[in-house]
Amino acid sequence: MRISSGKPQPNNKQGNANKSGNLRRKAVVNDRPKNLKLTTIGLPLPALISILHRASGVILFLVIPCFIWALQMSLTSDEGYQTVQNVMQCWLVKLMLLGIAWAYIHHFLAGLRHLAHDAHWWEGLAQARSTSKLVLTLSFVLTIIVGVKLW
Amino acid sequence: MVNTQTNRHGHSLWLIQRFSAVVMVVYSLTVILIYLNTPIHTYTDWKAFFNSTLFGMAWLKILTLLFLLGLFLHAWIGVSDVISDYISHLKLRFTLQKMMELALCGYTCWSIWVLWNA
Repeated sequence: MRISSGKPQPNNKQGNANKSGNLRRKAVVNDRPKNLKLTTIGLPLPALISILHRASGVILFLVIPCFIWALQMSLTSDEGYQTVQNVMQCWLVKLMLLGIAWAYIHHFLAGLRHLAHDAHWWEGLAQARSTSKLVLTLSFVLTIIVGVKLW
Repeated sequence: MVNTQTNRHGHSLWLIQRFSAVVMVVYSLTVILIYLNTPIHTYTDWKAFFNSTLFGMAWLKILTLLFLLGLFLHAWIGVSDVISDYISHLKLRFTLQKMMELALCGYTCWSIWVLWNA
């Protein structure tokens, strides 16, 4: 592969670096697969854990203000405390709390798994799969327990 | 995961992300265990629980403040990664990033105010 350019190429180190930079950029632009069929690509269990970690993180970020509000209301006055109690009696709010609880638990457990990987524990493929199953199962069980407590 | 704005401090961001995670894990486990073993039925109980002291310090308030600061730092790094991964339009990316940072700064002031007045 050679890029023909109208400008004369300077024959020093800087010039060569630029040239290879151009080459690389051109390759990235031209050789990217354009019709990546996402539905035909399997999602391995560790990848599922990873994307759910990300999704749950975004959910948790979005609900931060609701919790600061609830903390403020419940601590400022008796009426505020009652308001928060009443809001939490609504089944839709309970359902959302259950979803948030799942997000928290999943993010928590998948995060611990990531921390273990940082320490080079459980890095093999078999272990990555079994710890993924463990995270999925445990977060499901703990979410059920939270649900039982809520209702 | 390429964060175009902060890639020069990648290592310290990585450390902050892990350190804040550990802080939140410890807080969550401790406070949930203590909360489950404290009977709270009324506003007075709740307020007393939140203001309970150990060696003259409002330990729950202090730990909650630590937790929230950890949470905001953790969210800042995490959401920055998500934004830079999925938003390729540079102006939109920049706007979302700044909005997120502004929100987190607001949450920080708001939660300090809430804890101070609790």
